[in-house]
Amino acid sequence: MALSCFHRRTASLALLALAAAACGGNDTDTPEAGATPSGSSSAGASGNPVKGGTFVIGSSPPLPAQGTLNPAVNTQGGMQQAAGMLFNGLVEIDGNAEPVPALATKWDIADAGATWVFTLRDKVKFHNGAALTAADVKWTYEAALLRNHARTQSSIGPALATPCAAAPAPPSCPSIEATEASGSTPATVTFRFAKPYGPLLQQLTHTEGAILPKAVWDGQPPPTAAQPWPAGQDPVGTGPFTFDSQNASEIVYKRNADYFRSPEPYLDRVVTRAIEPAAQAQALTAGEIDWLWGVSGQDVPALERNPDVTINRGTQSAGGSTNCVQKLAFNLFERGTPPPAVRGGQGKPHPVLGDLKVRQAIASALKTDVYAQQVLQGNGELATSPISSQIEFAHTEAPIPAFDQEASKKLLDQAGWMSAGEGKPRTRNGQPLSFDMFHFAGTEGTLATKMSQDLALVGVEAKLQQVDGAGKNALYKERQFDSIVVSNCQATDPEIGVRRFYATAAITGAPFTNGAGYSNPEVDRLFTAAVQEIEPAARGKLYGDIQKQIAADLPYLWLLETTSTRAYTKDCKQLRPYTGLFLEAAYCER
Amino acid sequence: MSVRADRPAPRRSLRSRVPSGRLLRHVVRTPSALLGGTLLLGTVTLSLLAGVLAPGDPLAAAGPALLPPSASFPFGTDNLGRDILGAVLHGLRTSMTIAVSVGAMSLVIGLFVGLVSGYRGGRVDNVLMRVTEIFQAVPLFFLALLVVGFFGAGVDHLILLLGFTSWELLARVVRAETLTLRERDFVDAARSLGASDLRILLRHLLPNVLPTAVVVIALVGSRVILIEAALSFIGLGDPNQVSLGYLIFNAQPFLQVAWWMSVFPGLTIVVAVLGLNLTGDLVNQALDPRGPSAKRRGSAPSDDSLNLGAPEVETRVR
Amino acid sequence: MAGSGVLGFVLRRLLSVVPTVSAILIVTFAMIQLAPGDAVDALAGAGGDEATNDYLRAYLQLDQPVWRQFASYVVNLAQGDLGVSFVQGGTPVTDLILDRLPATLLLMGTALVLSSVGGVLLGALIARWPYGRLDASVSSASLVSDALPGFWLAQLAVLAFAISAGWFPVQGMTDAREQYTGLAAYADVARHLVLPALVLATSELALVTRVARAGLLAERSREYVRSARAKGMRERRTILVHALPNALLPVATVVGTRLGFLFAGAVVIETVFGWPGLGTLLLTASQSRDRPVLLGLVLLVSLSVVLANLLTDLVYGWIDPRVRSR
Repeated sequence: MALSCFHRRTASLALLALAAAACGGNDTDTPEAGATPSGSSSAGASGNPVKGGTFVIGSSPPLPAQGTLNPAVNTQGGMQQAAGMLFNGLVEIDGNAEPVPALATKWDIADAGATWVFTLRDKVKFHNGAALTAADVKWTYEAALLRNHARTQSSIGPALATPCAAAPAPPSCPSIEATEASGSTPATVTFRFAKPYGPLLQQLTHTEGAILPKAVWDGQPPPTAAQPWPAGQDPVGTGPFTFDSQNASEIVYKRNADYFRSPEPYLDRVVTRAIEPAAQAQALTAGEIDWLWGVSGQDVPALERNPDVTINRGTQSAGGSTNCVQKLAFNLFERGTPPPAVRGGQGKPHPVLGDLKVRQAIASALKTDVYAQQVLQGNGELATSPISSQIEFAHTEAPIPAFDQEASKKLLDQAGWMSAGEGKPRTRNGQPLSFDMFHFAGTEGTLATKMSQDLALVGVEAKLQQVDGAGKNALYKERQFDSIVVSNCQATDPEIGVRRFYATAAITGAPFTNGAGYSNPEVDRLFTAAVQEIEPAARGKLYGDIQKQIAADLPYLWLLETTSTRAYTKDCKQLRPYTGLFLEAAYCER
Repeated sequence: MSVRADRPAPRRSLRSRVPSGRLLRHVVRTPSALLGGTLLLGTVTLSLLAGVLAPGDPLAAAGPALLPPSASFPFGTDNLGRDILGAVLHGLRTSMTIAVSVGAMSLVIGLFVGLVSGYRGGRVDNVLMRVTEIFQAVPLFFLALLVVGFFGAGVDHLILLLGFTSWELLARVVRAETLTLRERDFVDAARSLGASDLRILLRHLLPNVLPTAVVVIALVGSRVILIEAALSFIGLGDPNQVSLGYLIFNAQPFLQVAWWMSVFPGLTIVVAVLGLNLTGDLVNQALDPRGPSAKRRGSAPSDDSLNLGAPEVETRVR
Repeated sequence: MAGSGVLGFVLRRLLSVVPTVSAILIVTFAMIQLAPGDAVDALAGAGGDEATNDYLRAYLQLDQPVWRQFASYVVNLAQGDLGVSFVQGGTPVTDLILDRLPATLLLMGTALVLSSVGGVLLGALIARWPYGRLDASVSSASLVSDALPGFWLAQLAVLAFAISAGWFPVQGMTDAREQYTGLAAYADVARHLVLPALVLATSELALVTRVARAGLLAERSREYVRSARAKGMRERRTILVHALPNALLPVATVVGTRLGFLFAGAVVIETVFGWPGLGTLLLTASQSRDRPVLLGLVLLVSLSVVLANLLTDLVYGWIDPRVRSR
């Protein structure tokens, strides 16, 4: 206690807010903190909440698969929305991107940020009636999160003082200590890191650190992505809603009467419906649903004219991820070079894209000023740096080379790629300047199409290759691509979503890691240094250096920052779209 | 009740000569036939001329995005500023290429399997029908969806896949027809006159199943256009090649703000498919001896009419 | 031609299902193996590490030799076990399919009945006055409806009847906001069923009408019908008693084929209307290389098509004994 309050005096602005909460020991501030998401005054509370009713969410298919609703081991798309209904983390992120108490009521920092002690909330019950204990938290980390949660495992895992046991060994994390409650002393959980670890509070939310009931797995192997719950077991969490049922097109949740923020939630029932994107705005207009996570830009004007509908914008993607940047990843090495060889610096450079001049030429051939409008229909803007502009403390302007067709042609000439005539790809030693560009369907496909059109004008042929998720992951694993459009969701800290695209250690072949094969010792060093700083300003400065260096090396092109336009029934209030727990306090007047 | 045919089929009916005079007369006299012929001819011509009428890359931007139809862009532009008229022409060419290639492949395979199976019967029939059944039991769309989903969307993939798998209906129909035909007197007659199997197949059976085959192939062609469109619709189209399905897929999110993006490619599909179906019908009717032209003459077909339809036969009725 | 003949025929045909379905299973299995990426690639979230993926591969037995994987699938299948999904949290494939089957059956069944009954009636109607005005208009309408891409029609139908007119819901099989029971629940589903079933039936209706008309016309002009007519039998009776049974033959023939088309149509229509059937399961399973689910679906669809064909042949033999006699 004394320690954390002492720390408060030296803490930065962001830490100040959380330390205040920690020292205050009072968590009634949370709803208010979450209730005022920037720019959505209509979502604020007014009058007395109405109890009861059903809230219907329209969501793009596919919904999380049956039996997979376990955000601790399954990080597929759509899971984050479900996670917000059913689960809590130790800490939640409010509408201003500040950490606020959730299952932990307060946290104390020691050893200059290398030791974090979380005090657990008393009398929290899981949906099956069992009380939350410190053992549940410790077990969730060692058996599920630090083994199977792709992001948490790769960020918190390596930073702990002693590494956790890997599967299939029995779960064990000596660096996470659980102390149960005794008498009036509440339970605590302690995380011990090898070095000071700054980003921790951003990584304990319901999406990054959902807490599971250990007893459900008694006598069973720990959860994995393939078997997230024991056979026949419905999802059990501590969240505001309980799991009711699921079928091919909907998930139904019921009110958790024992929620720790009782009398919240107010809604009796929440239904998530899978609706094709093209029909979503229509379903909302017809009054069949109450909420859309993402409205296509072209549908916004009609919905804005609709008196029954409210619109607001945010940087959370429709899948629940935040601060996503659409990038073009260049494979800097010969196609098919295995990731370990690339990591070890043994690969041969890519015959076309290994050349910095070609990458710069590609960047300056892109007439990006129309991309946000044409590709995203206004749901986003040009990215100006590898780190999203929404992660304010870390973002520094470091744009890709600006559009300049002449400069692009000159660079290509300098690189030895000579024009082969109008409408034909340039050549060098008889080889055409041609490469594959892989992409998903949807806006990423439109972005790829747009780039391919622009590149054709300077004599670069980008052949479009559409892939699905499994196909893309397989390409990544074997590095069987020349270039690939990826959407990189960065959450609220560069440690979660940026480092894994640029660090040498992240050339693993796993999806959403360093697909470029980019390796720069200076950048690696700066990333490590940035985690060990606690002070956001100091961290921001290090990230600034990183961004400048990456922009000079150009292993990716950061192109678009996507935003989501949400639309919802005007009758519904206290929605908190910018936090995971967006229906915790919601109610509808009808 | 048993009705006996009064004579073996007339000789001329057994040749596969194109009944041009009759066909033409039929086309001119029947509005639907005229329409069908015009539509098919029109779509084929337009798709052949796509490169001339809309030169350049149909995927390249031509103007501002989402322009409604106007003098300079009669079908409007799409979300990336591409001219939809040009894209539709090129898309039509892609769709017709797919339909014609798949149709030709299926015609050859389907006729072969159906004729041989129906005529030879026995073990050959059994084996061929088991194979056909396999192809029939895997719905084409299902297979196409897996192949295109797994191995990437390419028009060439699609042609090969659909070409090798779309013949089962034709084979079954041809077989059924052959089964009935080979029971008939005129085949017995030919056989008793010492005609070889091959000769009976080619001279006697093939001409008689061809009308049906053409109808089925027209049907296959139109189905193939629709399958390509449906695959594109669920996001499995080839992004490097404009097809009508690709255009509708692209148009989906803009249905309520830019109707022209969906309506023109959609109507073009309807026109192309309609042309194929009507032409199939037209051929069927023209070759049907009891069709309107025969009827108009007010008499049953006589020996001198170009009787290429089903010959007079013995039919047993229970 | 006794009953035993029919029984033998049925038995022979049932036995012949085995090689057919085996061939389909092998091809599908091989295709999934050859596809880039496996279920673990689909499961792998952002930034997952190789050790976890290896563990998952071992857990799903994807690290075993392919022949062994296939052998164990066949052994389980022989015991009636379709296995558990790779990516749907280990849910048994049978459960996944049975959960979604009723919705698809309802949609396909309604469309099949609508199109079969409607098509034969329309065909019979226009075959009475062939080449007349009625024939021309119904035939053209059926040709146009046959030429409409189902999904396009579906979208237009949603725009016209759900959005503009507001007569029917935009999506789903039920009203998500309500929890109806009893009669009200049936009414709710029926209201949601109208548009998708009609759209799905439309193109099928065209096919049946065409086939029924053509069959009737062919039969009508046969000697036996002519002689029946010559004996003074009335036209309607001629059609119903003599021509229709024979004309049903080609109609029956296309039912088996139509089952495949209907399923394909249902997959697409289900995505437009958010109908909770097998369509979405097929799409997600193919994207996630969920082999057990894909194989289960292939089995289901191919078996039902094969059985429908068998049934068709039986009906065929009943209507036209010459077929059975061979």
